[in-house]
Formats: sequence, structure tokens, C-alpha cells
Amino acid sequence: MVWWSILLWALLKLVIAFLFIFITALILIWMLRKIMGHMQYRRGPRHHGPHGIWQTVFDTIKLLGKEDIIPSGVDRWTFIWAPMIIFVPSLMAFVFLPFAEKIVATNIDISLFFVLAIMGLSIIALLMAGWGSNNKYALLGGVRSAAQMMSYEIPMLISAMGVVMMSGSMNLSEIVRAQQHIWYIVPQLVGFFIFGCASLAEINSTPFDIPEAESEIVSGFNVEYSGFRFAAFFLAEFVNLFIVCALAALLFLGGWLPFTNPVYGTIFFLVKTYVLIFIVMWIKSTFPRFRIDQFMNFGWKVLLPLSLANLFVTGVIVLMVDKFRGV
Amino acid sequence: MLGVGLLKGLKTTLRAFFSRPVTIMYPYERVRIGDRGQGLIKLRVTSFDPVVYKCTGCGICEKNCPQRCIEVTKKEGEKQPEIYTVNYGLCMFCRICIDVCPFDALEMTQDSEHIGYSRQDFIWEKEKLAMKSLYIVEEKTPASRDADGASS
Repeated sequence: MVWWSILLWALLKLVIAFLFIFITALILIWMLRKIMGHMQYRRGPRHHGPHGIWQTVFDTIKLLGKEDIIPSGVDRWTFIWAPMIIFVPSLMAFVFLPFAEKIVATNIDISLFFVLAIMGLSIIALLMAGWGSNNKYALLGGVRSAAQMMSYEIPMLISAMGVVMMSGSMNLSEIVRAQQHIWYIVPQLVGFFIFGCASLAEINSTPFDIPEAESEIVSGFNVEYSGFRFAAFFLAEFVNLFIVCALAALLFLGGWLPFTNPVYGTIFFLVKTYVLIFIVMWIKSTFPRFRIDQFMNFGWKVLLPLSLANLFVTGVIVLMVDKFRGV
Repeated sequence: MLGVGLLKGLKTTLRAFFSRPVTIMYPYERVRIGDRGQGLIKLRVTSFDPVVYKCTGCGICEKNCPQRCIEVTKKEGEKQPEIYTVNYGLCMFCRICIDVCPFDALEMTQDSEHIGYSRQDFIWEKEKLAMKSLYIVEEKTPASRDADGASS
């Protein structure tokens, strides 16, 4: 291939990814408002379009049209770059998510490892936003989010390792293919639970929304942001929600299986992902927030030992099965 | 047991999710105000063409109004009000005018919305006071409410 066709192809992929991210985020925000409304005996948005479906589109247009306020006293460089950097991990993670058999932008052998590693990058953006805002609440929010993500990334990774040990691959497509006979949620139920808790913490969702904690530190790292910069944070949050749920669907719920057809596979994969997203939103509209010490205790004293035990038991069982098969 | 409380909470919200919302879509749908709710007053009319008010223009309501917001005049020898204005900017909806009226010419409605762009808009003439209540709240039947809830 000549260089310009490679470049064009890459650009096209980028545009498609951007469109997908944008539309997904809009749908998810609308979905959250609707679900949360109905779970609180309200109705949610209703006026624009059927069931208020255009509400988030108009909200986004409103946010994009607002004045770009950069408060005096902020660290300009970090302040301006943080909302752009927060989009990079979300965008990059999409590259490695397989939607169906062979429907994946880039298929590499360690895609699971890569996705999890890249998602860790968003800490940097949150810390930059917190530091750059020159605001004590923002700084507290940034530091809290760093502490939270670092302590919950470990159980998340270890619980994902159980799946990797069972399937013998770090390639997400291979992991899904290995679930031909049984979805890993059955043998890895504990792992699924740990992965779920840790990923809730990872995306700052209730009951782990300590970095945002509206009632304590107003809104954490994004207090000083407005207009399209705020929209970037807001959209990235929902994109991360989608990524985490998609990852859970791939690792534990068999991705596109039982369909290998690309169309049905994609639809089935999205259905699974949206069911998981519904559960996250359900949890979000039910539970109150953890206190920060309870939260740290839960992470380090419950989830981490549990995930290590899960890893150990999985390893022993995998070894025994291999022995019996005579591998 | 550990975690039962969490499941109970999830059950509560799920039940809420599948039950009808309590929201009343206010400008399109109105809350029924109780019969004793006090709102704007209305002049009773015995016939519309020509308009004959039940009011005789005696002015007892004007004398008894604690806010002095009613103004009544009548022509000599006639038993109809010539001017009957209520200044809703002053009115406190105390209902005394209705209680003291010997001819039962005033009635209380449950209209509570009165807005205007100037102070003049709050001074209502007799024609406006005799108008049919603007917001008659229909008692919704359960069937119609369900249909509405389903469309939300």
C-alpha cells in the first residue's frame, strides 16, 4: 500500500471511531437520564422528540455554543490540555475492541492488556485538570481519582487475569472464541464480581463516585470547566462506561457468541453491553456513595485478597485440567 | 446476611422503574386543587344575553374587603353594578367578600394562576370577572391516565 492510502485509511477509521463515540455518549446520557428518572418515579426528558431523545443532542449543542471561560490563575497549559487528553484513552481503547468475528480495527495479540493499560492513562488527564484548575476542590477531586484508580486497577487486572489463564490468550477475539462452550461468567463468577466492582470504581460511577462527590467537593476535577471543555469530560465519562461494559461483555459474557455472523454478532454484542450498562445505571440510581476510608478498605482489604484467591484457585484448576488432559 | 440490603435497594428501584411515574406534566396537565382551595373570585351571572349579573352593586363586599381591592359603583335606581373591579395585585384571597355577599353573587374558583406584564393587568373588570373559569380541571379517569403514562 502506498503511504497516502494508509493515511487515508487511518483517518477514516478515526472519523468512524469519533462518530461512534459521540453517538454512543449521547445515547448513554439520554439513557441514564431516562432510567434514573423512572427509577425515582420521574419521567426524565420528554419534550424534544419521542421520549425526549433529542434532549442530549440539544444539550451538547448548548454546551458547545457556550463561552469558553478560562479562569484567571489557572495553569493554562494543563487546564487547556486536560480535556483533550481525557479523550485519547477512550478513543484508543475503541481501536482494540472486537465487535464481532473479524470486526475489529486493530487486532493485536495483547489487546486486553493494551486496553486496560490505556484506560489507566485517563488518571493523568484528571490529575492535570485537578492541578491546573487552581481550585482546592478540583485538586482534591484529581488526587482522589488518582488514588481510586490506582487502588482499583490492581483487582481489575488480576480478575481479568483469571480469564486470560482460562483462555490462554490476551487477544480479546481469542478470549471470546475460547468461550464457545461456556461463558466465563459461570466458572469466573467471583472474577466477574470483582471486575464489576473495580470497573465501577474505574469509571467513577456510584457508589464509587468519590472523585466527583457533589455533596463534598462540588464536582471534583471539573469544577472550573465550562462549555465544550466540560462537555469533553462529560462525554469521556460515558464513553468509558461503554468501554468497561463492552470489556466485561467480551471477557465474561462471550462477546458476540453464539453468533459468528458479523451483523448478528455485532448486534448481540451491543445488546450484552447495553444490558450491562443498564445494570450500572441501575446501581447508580440506587446506592449512596462510599466514605473514602470505607472505599479504600473495600479495595485493599476485600477486593484485592479476593482477586488473588480467585487467581490462585483458577490457576490450580487450570493446571489440574491440563494434567488430566495430558497436555 | 451480607449483601441482602443491597439487593433490597436494587429491588426497590427496579419496582419504581416499572411503575407509573408520579410526575404531573404541569402546564399540560393540572393538579386538581381541593374544593376548599381559595383562588380567584368570579361574578355570577343569571343570563348571558343580555348580561345580567346576580350582583346588585350594593357595595357590601367593597366595605368588608380588608385589602380594599374591590371597587363597586352603580347607577341610581339600577340594580346592576356599573363598575366592578378587583385588583388582584392586592387581593389576598381571604374569601370575605363571598361570605358577606347577601345575594350570593360571588363565587370562588380554584384558578390560582394570574400573571401579567404590568400592574394594570391585575385589575380585572366585571366582564373578565364573570368569565368562565379558564382552567377547569378535569378529573382524569384511571384509563386516560394510564394511556398517558404509557406514552411517556
